[in-house]
Amino acid sequence: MTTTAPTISRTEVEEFLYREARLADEGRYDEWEALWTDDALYWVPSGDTVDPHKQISVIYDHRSRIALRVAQLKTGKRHAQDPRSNVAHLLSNIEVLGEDGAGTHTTATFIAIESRSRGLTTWAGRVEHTLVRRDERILMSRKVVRLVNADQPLPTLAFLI
Amino acid sequence: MCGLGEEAGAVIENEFASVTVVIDERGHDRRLRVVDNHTGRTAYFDALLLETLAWTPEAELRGLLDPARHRWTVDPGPDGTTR
Amino acid sequence: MTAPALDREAYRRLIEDDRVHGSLYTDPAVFDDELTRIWYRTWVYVGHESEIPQPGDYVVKSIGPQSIIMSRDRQGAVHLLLNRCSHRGNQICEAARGNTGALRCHYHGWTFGTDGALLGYPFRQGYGPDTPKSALGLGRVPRMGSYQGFVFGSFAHAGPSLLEHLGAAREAIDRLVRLSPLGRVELTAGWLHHEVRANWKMLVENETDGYHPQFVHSSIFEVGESHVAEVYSERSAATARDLGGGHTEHDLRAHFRRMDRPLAWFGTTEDRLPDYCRAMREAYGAEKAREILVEGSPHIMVFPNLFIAEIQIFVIQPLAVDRTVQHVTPLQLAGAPDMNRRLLHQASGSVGPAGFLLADDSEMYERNQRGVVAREPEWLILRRGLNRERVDADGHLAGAATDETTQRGIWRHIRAMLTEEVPA
Ligand code: FES
Ligand SMILES: [Fe+2]
Repeated sequence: MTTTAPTISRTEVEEFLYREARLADEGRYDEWEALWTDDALYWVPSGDTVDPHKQISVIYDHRSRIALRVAQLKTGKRHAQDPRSNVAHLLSNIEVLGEDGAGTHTTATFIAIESRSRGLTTWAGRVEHTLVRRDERILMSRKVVRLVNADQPLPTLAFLI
Repeated sequence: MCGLGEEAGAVIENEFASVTVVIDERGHDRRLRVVDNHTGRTAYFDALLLETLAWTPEAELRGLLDPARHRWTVDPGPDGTTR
Repeated sequence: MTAPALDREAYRRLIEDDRVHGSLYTDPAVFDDELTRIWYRTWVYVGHESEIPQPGDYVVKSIGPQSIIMSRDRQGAVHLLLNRCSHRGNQICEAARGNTGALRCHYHGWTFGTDGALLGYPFRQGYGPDTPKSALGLGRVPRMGSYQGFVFGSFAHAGPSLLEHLGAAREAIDRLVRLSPLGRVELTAGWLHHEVRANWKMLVENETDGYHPQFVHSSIFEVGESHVAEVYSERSAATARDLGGGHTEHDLRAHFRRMDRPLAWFGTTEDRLPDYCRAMREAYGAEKAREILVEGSPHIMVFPNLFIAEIQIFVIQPLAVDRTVQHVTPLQLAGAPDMNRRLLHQASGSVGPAGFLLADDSEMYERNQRGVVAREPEWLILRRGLNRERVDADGHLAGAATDETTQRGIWRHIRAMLTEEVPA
């Protein structure tokens, strides 16, 4: 990681993270999917995941699988999200860690409160993004969600966390 | 984990104990220095001691694992010391 | 505090041949009876030997709500110990896994071998010479058995052997391990732990239910490259089979034999996995390897908690009448690295809390649990396929792919266990 001034400003980072969370919370699937680059990775490790190529993850989606996940949500027959969970994401402790060839690396803590018939579920952890600027737009090429309870039994997690 | 070498300690731990193991070159021959990370207690194991350990039958090793054998031998005194 | 047990007559009334009463999923007294008469009596799957490959390795597993340490001692023998200090009951292992030559309780330092024997306690003057050290080891699961590396435990001191318990399920496990060129599976690709607010039987019954996939999984069948949809359609040549002893199978072989294409069951072709296919031919010969690769992997629910689901292994853990954890790991085959990468990749899309398949199954378990509390009607109907059920060449009851032959088989065994008509 180099120490040159980030080409994506802190304000832009914050705006992106808030917008990404809002699009997910509101179930605006196409707009959310459009935030990803073509080489994207969306990763939610489990407590056992050391190397995602050796141990199973809760989510390990390359770009095509992100598309599949969104397409499944949009069928209207994804029962675990039909009806959609009501979710409120709260992002805080945002830090811009630096920049390298891959993009601008950020980390933040989050809480996501999910409501559905099952009841209220609290999800929390740390979220890491790698952001890049493409044609005047900021996109994410990598999002890693490290749940505080990744090593514990988890309820169904079918919304976009 | 770091490889073994002079002063390059390797931490060996499980949920019950934690020690740092260093190859110590200060003597005329190499030996292992083992530090209990919880108490700082240090012990040295030369080649002959290690060879002996490797030859120690399981039953005797199990005897050594009895916590009252050498460590928690006497109940704490009024000052709270356990050794 | 335990609820009063129900008498045998009650279970004969609540479990009929073609319908079962909703309270069986919701009554805490029934759950307590199930723990004592099923989970703490019959053979229950605990873990796989490949999870503790080295002497000193241990993993923390379970039998229902009981926490079980599966350890390999320094001589290589496997033990099933209760994760409870024999002194004053502290939990011994907090980590999910580790390697150690002994277990030292964090509360007062009592120390045990990985075989459970008490090695000693601090300050022995506090115990008179009459303290029977040899009787103060860790609790053990009284009987342990292993088949193809799958380790089972039974809290019953006597009863049918593991092989007798597995019965016809053995052959399905054999069909699983032969998918490895070395004849061994390895459960080394980590676990997801998925908790659902549903009774454990909702899960067991769903595992070999061929009726639901078209409805519950239509979203992924519609958008995914799904070779699975066909298997569960009315055109399927698959068979729902009651193997006896509560074990049930969704036998897909006839379907894939009809397709007659190696690896069709895995949604791929031989040219995508050349190393694996070569290793299989070298291990079994071209003809046998082709047969294995055409027939594919079994889909079998080994009662009460081991679900071999073609490319992943599920373990069902009941915690309360309406709380169950489903543990899942991708199948890994010894001697097949290229296959293992694809197995891991496919499993991580399908299963667990966010899985394309399992998130919807679990949504159904939870809705089902909310549904069955209704007072009217009180019964769940298990009649599907009664009109076309047959006895197959092996003497097992068999039905069409979407028939409830499997659910009826599961309930027949549960009734026999709850009324204590069969030995453990
Ligand atoms: S409870 Fe384990 S040593 Fe006291
Ligand atoms: Fe399903």
